Amino acid sequence: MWIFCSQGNSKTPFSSETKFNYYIHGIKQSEFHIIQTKLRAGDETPLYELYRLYRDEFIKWSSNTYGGSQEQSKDAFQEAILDFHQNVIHGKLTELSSSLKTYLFQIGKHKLLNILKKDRRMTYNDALHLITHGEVDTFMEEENKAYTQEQISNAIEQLPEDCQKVLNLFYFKEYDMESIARELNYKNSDTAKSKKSVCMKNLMIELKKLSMLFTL
Amino acid sequence: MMEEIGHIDLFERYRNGDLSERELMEFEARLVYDSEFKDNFEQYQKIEVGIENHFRENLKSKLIELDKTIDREKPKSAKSKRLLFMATSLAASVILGLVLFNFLSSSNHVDLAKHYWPEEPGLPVKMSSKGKYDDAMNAYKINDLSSSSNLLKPIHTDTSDYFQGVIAFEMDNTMEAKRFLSRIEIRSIYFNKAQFRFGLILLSEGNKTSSIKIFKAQIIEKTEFSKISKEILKKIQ
Repeated sequence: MWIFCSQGNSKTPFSSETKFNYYIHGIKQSEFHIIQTKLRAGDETPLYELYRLYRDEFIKWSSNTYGGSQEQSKDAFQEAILDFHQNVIHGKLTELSSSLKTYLFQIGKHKLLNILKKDRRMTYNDALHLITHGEVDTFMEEENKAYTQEQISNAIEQLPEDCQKVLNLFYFKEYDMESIARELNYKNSDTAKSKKSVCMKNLMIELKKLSMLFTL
Repeated sequence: MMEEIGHIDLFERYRNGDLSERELMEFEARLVYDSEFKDNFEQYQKIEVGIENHFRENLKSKLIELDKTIDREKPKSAKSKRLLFMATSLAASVILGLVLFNFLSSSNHVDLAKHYWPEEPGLPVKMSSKGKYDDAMNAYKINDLSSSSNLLKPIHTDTSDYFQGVIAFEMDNTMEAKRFLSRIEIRSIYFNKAQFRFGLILLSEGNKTSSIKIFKAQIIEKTEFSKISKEILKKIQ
């Protein structure tokens, strides 16, 4: 993806502040490294730009090739973008052997095939009523021991903003404690560690509150 | 409950690799003989996975919001115009020809800009939580443009600039509209929309050369406004 600046002669990917900038398809290795650096620094804007750039083309391609609906294709491409993001920040993707578009479309393809398979399987189970009442009870008992994703999400949202930031940086963006301390202006990595520990305790308390509400 | 929370410091130290060799051996042994401790640790690990999932879902919901924006930006009339072309090719050509003739003969670029000015529905307002744009968007949706603009003033974001630009043009203040829209940077999700509107404003002011540049950029970038930009260029060039 090249961005040409008509006000000046520079060719600077993702950096121009000027108005007349044009995207041209085909992301080069050097530009991928810029995206990589931005994502690792916690900047998510390249993801939105990539999504906007390729979404419609992916929908068209995947529905023609695999027969996915528009909603299934959108879902698959969103998952592809998220996996790309995770692979970059976890250091699993450091070099591109193909264009970024091909990479994203490949992940998107697998995501779509899984979605199609899952949707078909659900229809099959629904039709045959394979789960008996007894099995449901055992399953529910097991499930009740653990917190649901919804409960965890609700509990996180009850936490103060700084705790949410610490947890996001540590678990989602995979920052180490030193980087968290730098990012959030803490004294040092030990301060970040104790902050995270306090946040985990608060999260546990919120989860307990929520599960008690649920039981009542 | 207190016991589970009490374990967290230990789990955290284990997670951070801060346990001494002896503490580590004790920790791992306890996982074998103390089933309650083991359950608590497994629950802690599941919560960790849940935290990661939560933030992944957060990012996904931003992509879903972007989806809605992209879909809203698609000119509403484009699809119906295409169907019209296919269904009634000859008749449509005549009608479009007449429309084109009218535009060209009147050279009324203000009308042309207003004609192609995309409808902006505003941001969705959630019932469940209060967002920073909610009051401004509620005012915008009931066409109370001046209140909406005042509510957006203290917010300094690309979203605010974009809506201020739209509102200013709809209140016939083209200078302000240009000022706000030109602030929007390329990395913003509003960039293409803002550029397209900026082009229309320039056209309405009679600055044909600069507006042509912007419409051509939309075509080169293959934005959602590329087809409509082609249409406009046909009419003004």
